[in-house]
Amino acid sequence: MQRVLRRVRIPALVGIAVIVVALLFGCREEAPTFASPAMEPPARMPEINLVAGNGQPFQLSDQQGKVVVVYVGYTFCPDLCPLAMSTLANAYDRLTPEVRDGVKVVMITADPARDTPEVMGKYVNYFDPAFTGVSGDPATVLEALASWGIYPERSATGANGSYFVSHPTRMYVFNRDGLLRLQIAHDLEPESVASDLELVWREGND
Amino acid sequence: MMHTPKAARRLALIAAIAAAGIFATACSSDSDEDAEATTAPVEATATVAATAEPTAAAPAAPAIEIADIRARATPGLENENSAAYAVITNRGTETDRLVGASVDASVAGRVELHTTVKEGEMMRMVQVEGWDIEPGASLELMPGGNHIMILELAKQFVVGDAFTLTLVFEQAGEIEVEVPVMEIVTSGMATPGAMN
Repeated sequence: MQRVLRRVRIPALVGIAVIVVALLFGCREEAPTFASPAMEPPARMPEINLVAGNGQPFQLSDQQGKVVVVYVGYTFCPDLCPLAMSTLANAYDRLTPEVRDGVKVVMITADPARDTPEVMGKYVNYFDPAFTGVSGDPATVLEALASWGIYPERSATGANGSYFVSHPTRMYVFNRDGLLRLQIAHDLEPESVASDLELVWREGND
Repeated sequence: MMHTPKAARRLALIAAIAAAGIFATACSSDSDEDAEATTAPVEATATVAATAEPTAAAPAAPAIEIADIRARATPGLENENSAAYAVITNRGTETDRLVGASVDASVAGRVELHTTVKEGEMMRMVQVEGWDIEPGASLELMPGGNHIMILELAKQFVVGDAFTLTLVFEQAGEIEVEVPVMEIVTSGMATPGAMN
């Protein structure tokens, strides 16, 4: 009897062990990875003197301690900028309240001549009231973007003096220490954006 | 009830295989999704399909099929613009060409055809004169690519609104379509029924 029991127990234990190991390590290889290219080594967040929609001075580095997502676009942008902002808003909604509190979304205008801080404030508020839209003195904004390697170019002026502006394809994600961690592609779907943001947030929390 | 050693071994084996199977599936699903991330809802449905209503000297059967048409809701700023997207299929036997579009002045001041072009790390807007659509082929107007730009909106585009857009084709002539206003996010997720 004893012998039979022992013979039963060993294979059963092996089976249980396999399950436990699978549970613990099964996903280890596939474990959370960024959908977006990670920056190695990460660059430091630039100092840019900007003005927020409420008229107050805005400095990216003041947001340190939070994960900061920066999108550079403009409000007259008909296609990609609103798409990117809607995607960010959708991703932001998907975060748990705790993570959301630790993530700041900032849109910097690539078109400071038309986008005043007030216009930027109204624009981002439409996508999510928690987002911050910033502009400032046009020369200062463009100089700041240039220091970051971003050179927005105006298209030829069309009817009624309208023009379009070139802008970066990616959204920049800075970690809590103010280091550029990810560049998110404009066409990444909201689920992956949310998961990337949460992963960056977790990096500083583990 | 007493298990025999053989039965127990079999049980353990089944459990192990099942566990392995579960994890293989669970672990692979994410990356599959990511690979599909940028695909647009190509011909997924024809829920808002409109058929051609030829105005003059038109072929017997409607050659142009317009599906999944939608325009982006706007924040409500001064002098703002929007974009319309659709999948336009040529069911005819001759190549046709979308050469223009218009809306009533009560909707917007101008409508133009544009494409968003990626140059290095920057995106840029380029106006185009039209797009050919070969017989049996589809013209995909989608975010981040070819689109119908609606400028100088007379009023804010609010989700749930709709307006009439007139598309002008070289062969099929003018086609009027009703365009619903939606929130548009990546992957056309805001389009009801257009999920892959």
